[in-house]
Amino acid sequence: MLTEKFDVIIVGGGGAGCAAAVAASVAGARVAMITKEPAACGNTRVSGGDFALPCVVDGDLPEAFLNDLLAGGEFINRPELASVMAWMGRKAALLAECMGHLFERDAGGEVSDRIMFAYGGHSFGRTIASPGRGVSFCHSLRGALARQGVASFEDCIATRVVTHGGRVAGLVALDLLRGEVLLFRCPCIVLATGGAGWLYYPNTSCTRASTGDGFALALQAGAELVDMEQVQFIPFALTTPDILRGAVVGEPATGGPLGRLLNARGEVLLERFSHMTRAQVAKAMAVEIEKGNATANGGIILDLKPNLTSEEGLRARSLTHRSGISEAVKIAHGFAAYNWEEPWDVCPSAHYNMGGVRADGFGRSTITGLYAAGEVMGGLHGANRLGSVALTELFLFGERAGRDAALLAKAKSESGFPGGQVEAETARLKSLYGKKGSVRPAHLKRDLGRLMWQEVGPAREEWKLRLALEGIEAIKRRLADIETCAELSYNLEVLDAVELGFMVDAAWAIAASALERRESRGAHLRLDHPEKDDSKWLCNIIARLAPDGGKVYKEQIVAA
Amino acid sequence: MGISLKIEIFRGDQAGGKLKPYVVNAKNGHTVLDSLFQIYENIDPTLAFRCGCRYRKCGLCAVMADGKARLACLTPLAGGMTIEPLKGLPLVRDLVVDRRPFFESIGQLALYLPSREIGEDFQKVIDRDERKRLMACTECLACLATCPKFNFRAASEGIAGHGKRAIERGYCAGPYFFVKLAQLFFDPRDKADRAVQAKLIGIDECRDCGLCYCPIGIPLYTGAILPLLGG
Repeated sequence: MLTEKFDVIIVGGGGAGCAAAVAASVAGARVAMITKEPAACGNTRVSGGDFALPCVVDGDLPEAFLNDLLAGGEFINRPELASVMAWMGRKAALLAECMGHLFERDAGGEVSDRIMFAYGGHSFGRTIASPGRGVSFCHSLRGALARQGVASFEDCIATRVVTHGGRVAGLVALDLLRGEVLLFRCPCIVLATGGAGWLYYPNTSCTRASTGDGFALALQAGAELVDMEQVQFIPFALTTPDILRGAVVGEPATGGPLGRLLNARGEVLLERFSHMTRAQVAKAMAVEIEKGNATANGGIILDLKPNLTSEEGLRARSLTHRSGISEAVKIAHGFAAYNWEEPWDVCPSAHYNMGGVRADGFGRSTITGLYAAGEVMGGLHGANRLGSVALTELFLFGERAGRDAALLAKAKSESGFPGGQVEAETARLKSLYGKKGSVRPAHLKRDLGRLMWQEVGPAREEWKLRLALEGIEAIKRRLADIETCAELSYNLEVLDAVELGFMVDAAWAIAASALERRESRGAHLRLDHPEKDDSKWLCNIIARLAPDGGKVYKEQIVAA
Repeated sequence: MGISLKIEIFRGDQAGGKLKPYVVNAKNGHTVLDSLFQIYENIDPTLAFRCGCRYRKCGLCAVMADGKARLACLTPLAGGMTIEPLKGLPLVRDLVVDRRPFFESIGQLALYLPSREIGEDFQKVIDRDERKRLMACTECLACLATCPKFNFRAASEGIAGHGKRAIERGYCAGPYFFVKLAQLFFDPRDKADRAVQAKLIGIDECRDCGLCYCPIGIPLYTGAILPLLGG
């Protein structure tokens, strides 16, 4: 079995992972990146490329950004993380360009206030675009990895963090191209695995790789997760054709001044919703869908035609087209729909996890040597994420975590290594090939997707969440009884099985945290507790796995 | 609902393989990727294919559909269709090609800007439309399958020997590499001579060819190859 030693290993090859890998290497560490897809092929690649860049526009001081972050997050942001973003966010953009990226420029070649614009929740023009959108970042990310000489293990999935005496000692991974187990010894690991949108498959805009691997790896290593109940749903995603289900084609702002949402009976559900939050609109739709008033494809009708009679409405259409967000409507419903002349049906889509691994301003989790950066890290955005801040987060916290991990690795002496954990994990992985059982992993993934969508979706209630927890336990039991084919080379069933192991842990954390937070705040909406309750719930929800089972509890927020 | 369509998919690896027939249930708007999911989930779980975003942006699902290099997520399914892995690329299994050598090539060709210290301010850069157009490349590698002079062995050797010798005569490394070189060629911040690099990896073979194409419409010949040729 291949065993290699490194100082720092990065798990996940997106924006945060690449930023961390480069930073750790620049700081003198011997670095490897383990990524289950080719590097930079996840959600960073498919993002819109809009980046929060504070302190360009006059008056946009760090204090203003901090206020917007906290207001948007409804005040349960981890204060230290929000402060780092507010004061250091600008540096993330400079870093991205150092890595090779190029943001929009004005006619004179400068980054000036002329090209900045304001996403919802930002009180200043604090967002800059990228020519070529998300994929343009990825040319630089891959280039920066190569420039820095980071050892990259693509098509390799990390399956277990190995700990010894409460500290990171190494990592077990599976080479998907060959069906071989790899073992790495390292004192520091940076988890940069992104989110868990695929838990809601097919009602997600996220890529197939978004199976919550890092949330589960962290839980299994004994680390804590924070505010996992905060899952962002974007209200307007396609329902058809099958392969495009979940593709986001609009925001509340897309509604323009006169857009309407109608149920299948033609009754108006919502009007004038362009200033509502993503969560509020998604909830209204989910409640209506549950009542049985959805279209044949399980959606709600978006009628934007009234906008065409007003100048402001026509401007809204223009902005929507220029942003590119609704391109897929052309394929799904044709040009008339794309031009707002005809309505089409939409459904909420799981888009982003605000919650994640509990970490400090350098990405340090509660387990020594285990770091988190990017979407997998929780607490920066509180209960709701402002647009464009996710990309800034990748570079900002990726760099900080990578750099700190390199320093820690230098300071550490060689630790012991627990052979038992490795043997058990290796045996488990090998047993996944050609396993005899009674359910295929692909079907279990579908079952989990249906369960999470129905019971832990945009509109939540206690009885549904309890049902979800039982359902997740049942899927966990069935996971022990999966049947897989024996192909050693690129076995999708084995990949699905490994990911399912992660997904059930991430699903538990989300459902259990949603059950615990008995109020509605930000993206988390409880029909049985529809109001926000600062007197009891101005706190974080912590989730962790203990030897005697999963634990979820609230914790007071301590000021930075 | 839906209609039954018979299609054929390549099953096999570097050692060999054959086209296997499948019958899929296709609804309106179904794509090749839809059928791959359907087959893997309900008919034949041994099928291997790549997929990421499901809609046009990640570049992972490129295949040959009826002999044309396409993105599976964008290709409407048609009865009698033949689906094969990208032609000429190192095959892992079924529709999955090995992308690791392409990561290696980034380092070998220095497809990145020179290192620099992070500054206090943004550099003044007059960006170019020619560069912006090329940045939309999703690195799906489909264009390599459309190049009549592309040969993986020759390309790998040529790229590995870069700077010391040119690629073997009669071959070129393929349009993907010329797009990557051209992105930097049009970047005012780049310092290397990308046109010379392009020559070393066979761009002269591209003169008067123009047969390569991109499934998402990046102008390979006019946007990358001609400019590097000095045209």
